[in-house]
Amino acid sequence: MFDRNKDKQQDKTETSASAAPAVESSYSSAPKPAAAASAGRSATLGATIKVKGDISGDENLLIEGQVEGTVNLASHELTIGKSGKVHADVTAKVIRIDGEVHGDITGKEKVFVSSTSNIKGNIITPKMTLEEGARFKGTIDIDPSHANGGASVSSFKSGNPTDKTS
Amino acid sequence: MVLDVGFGVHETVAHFGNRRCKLHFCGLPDALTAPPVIPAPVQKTGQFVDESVRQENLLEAWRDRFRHVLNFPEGTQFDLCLFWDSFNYMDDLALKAFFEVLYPFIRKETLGHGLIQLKEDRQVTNREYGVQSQDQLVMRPGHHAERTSHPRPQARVAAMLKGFAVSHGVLRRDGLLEVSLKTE
Repeated sequence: MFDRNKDKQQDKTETSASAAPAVESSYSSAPKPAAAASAGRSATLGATIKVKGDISGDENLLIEGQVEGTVNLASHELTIGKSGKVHADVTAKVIRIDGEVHGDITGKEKVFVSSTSNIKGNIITPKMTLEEGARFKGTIDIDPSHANGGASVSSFKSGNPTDKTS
Repeated sequence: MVLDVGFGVHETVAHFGNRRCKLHFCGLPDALTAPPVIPAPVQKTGQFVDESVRQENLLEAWRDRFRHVLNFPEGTQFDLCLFWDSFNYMDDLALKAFFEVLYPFIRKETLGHGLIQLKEDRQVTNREYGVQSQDQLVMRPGHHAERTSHPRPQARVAAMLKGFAVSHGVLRRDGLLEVSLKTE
C-alpha cells in the first residue's frame, strides 16, 4: 500500500456483463417463457403482483413485483428484478439483486449485487460479487469455507442497516 | 473484521471475498455532506458570549451523527480500518468526534490506512477508493456531492486520531500523504 508508483487512476472498461455471475446464464430480468415456468424450472412473480406473506418453494424464482414477508428458496435461485421490491428477509442458494431489497439477505452459495439495486439489510454469503459501478453501504459477512453452511442472519443482526446506492 | 469508511466498490469486495471476514462499509461521505449547525446565541450589547459552549454543543452534534454511522454490534473490534481520504473532509471538531466514537471498536493490534491532504488542491478531492490487491489501491472520481476539504499538517491530524498513531508515511506524487496507522 505504500508503493510510490502505484497510485494510478483506473479507467473502467470492463462491461457489466463480464462481471455477471453464473446465475446470469439462467436468469435475466426479462420474463421467462411460459414453457420454462411450466416445466418447473422457474417461476416469475410479475410486476403488478403484490404478495404479503411467506414465499417458499422448490424452484427458481424471479420477482418483478412487490413482496412483504419472507422469501425462502434454500436450494434454488432467486432473482429480484429491476422492478422488484422486496421488503423481507430472503434466503436462497444463489441470489441476484437488480431491484430493491429491504431486509437481510442470506445466499447459501452466492450473492450478486448489480449497480441498479437498492439494498437495506445485511448480507451473509460465502461468495459475494458487487457489480462494477455499484456502491454499497452496509455489512457483508463472507465465509468461503461455509458454502451451503448454516450461517443465519439471526446470529448476525446488527443495528447498522445496509444501504446500497448506485 | 474490516471497516471501510467509504462505500463498497467491487474491487474491495472481490479482494476480501476469498477469505473469512466481515466487511463494514459505513458510507461516511453521506454523513459529511450537511454538517450539523449550532446557531450562534443572540448577542446583546455588553453581554459576554462563551463560544466554548457552542463548540462543545457542535462536538456533541458530530458525536451523535457518528454514533449513527458507526452503529456496530456490541463487541465489534476491527482488525483493519480503511479511512482513505476521509480525514480531509472533516474539520477539527468532526475529526475529533469521529475518532472518539470509533475508539471502542478498535483494539491493540488494529491497523489503519489514510491519506492526508497537506495543502489546498482540488485535484485530490472527491475520489473513490478501493483495494485492488495487497499492494495496490484503486482510485477514481467519486460520486459524492462536492465536499469542503480541510488541508492540515500531519501532526495536527495525528493529534486528533484517538487511539491511533502514525507508524509510517509516504508523500505521494499527487501531494497526498499516505499514512499507515497502528493503535497506541
